[in-house]
Amino acid sequence: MAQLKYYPERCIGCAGCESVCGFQRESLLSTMTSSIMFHVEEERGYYGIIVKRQGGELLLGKPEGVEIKRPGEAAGGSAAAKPIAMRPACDMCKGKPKCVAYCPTGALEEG
Amino acid sequence: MPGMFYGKMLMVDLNDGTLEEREVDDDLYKRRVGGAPLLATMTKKEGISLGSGPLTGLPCPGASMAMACVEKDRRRRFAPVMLDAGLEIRLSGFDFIVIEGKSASPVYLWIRDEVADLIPAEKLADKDCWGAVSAIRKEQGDQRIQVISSGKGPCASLSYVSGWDGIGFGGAMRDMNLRAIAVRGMSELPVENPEALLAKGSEMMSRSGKLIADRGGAASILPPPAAARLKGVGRKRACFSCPYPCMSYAPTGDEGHPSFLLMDQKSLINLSRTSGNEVDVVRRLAELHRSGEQSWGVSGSATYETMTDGVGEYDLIAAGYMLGICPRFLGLIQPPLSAYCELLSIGAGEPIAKEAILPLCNSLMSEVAK
Repeated sequence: MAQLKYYPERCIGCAGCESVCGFQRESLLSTMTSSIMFHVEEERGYYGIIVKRQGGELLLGKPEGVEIKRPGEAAGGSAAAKPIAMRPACDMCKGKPKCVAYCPTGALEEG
Repeated sequence: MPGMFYGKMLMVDLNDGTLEEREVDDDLYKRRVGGAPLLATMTKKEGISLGSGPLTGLPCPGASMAMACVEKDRRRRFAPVMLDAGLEIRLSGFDFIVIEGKSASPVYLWIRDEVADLIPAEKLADKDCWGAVSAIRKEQGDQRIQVISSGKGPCASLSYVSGWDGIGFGGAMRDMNLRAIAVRGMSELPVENPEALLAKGSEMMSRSGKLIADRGGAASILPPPAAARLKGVGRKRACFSCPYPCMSYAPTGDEGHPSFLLMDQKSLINLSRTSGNEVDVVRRLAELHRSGEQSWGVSGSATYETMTDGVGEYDLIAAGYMLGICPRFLGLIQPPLSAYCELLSIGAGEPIAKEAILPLCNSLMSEVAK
């Protein structure tokens, strides 16, 4: 199955991807069921995304680069990122990922 | 329009510490749509309020904006509340938050998922705006809480960002003994025709994104002399669901709080005219923002110009104040209002034409500007 690819250098931190994923899944405005979690630490000037992928993998989209954490590998990071465990896994919107369509800078691609 | 809101507001009386949920009449949404025109009817004498537009938080470009209102000397002034706060206010479970009175002791208002509390804030007394934000997030255990905090100056800080409060919202909060307003949105908001709304919003976002391309950053919204003084700034950042990253992270020189967001266009322009190198300009700005100040203070008579500085068409910006779309984005990119009206029609489940919206927002904005 295709998975999401993230290009941190293109990301502007609009968090539209998180919102659109929840909207697509639930047909209402909510961020609680998104497979994407926008992570920001404003006082450090730091932001990125975490994507819960199929099979329990996590895509960690950090400004310095992308990491893939497989089940059982420690993801690290702050406690603020832990709620991703409760989110559903990305299913690529069963063909045409809405987050990719919505991202204004091409920071997300289907790969 | 009623279908795009929760239909309820939170009334906060700081005199006796009461918090009351009230229904908002459907007719009010139909007549006044949302945002500033609705807040104008609700804000109490010498009070403050926050509220959403019908498009705030929805998947469309620039939908980051909630409104703040201050009533003082029988005049209502409005400022846009941006970054991630618009979405959190939108998902708080309340369409509008109306605050009046004065608390006997310092408190902060904590709102999440249709629940609100007034929390004692004496422990925040020795903290500046940024310190209050950090302390509240730590106390409540969530880094995504958006905090509007008052300091010594007349302007409130939104999380660690200043430059939006040209109306003295921070000063009004301080006068009310209200140290901060903290919001975390965990509610859900259903709308009509979600698939069609998402498709239209995505189309608009894609079009705007192509138009903007690689533009952005704090320097992009400054005149060349001021832009040239900005050195050493870091990553660009956009507000929620905005394709234009008009802000940049900049170093504070403080290891405990190394970065802050440059959004305060006017202060950057003013400070860049003073002596000192580029680093001094940015650090001086950080010092101002920590204490709740902007170099341009409170703009006084200006009601709609805190973010736009005269950029763009008045009509479009006024519509943004009503709909919940960033006035800076609208002014800079000038997307067609008809596209937002189409989105509104989809979300409301009834046709709403631009010809109906424009006179409405113009007449209402003229009314509230008195």
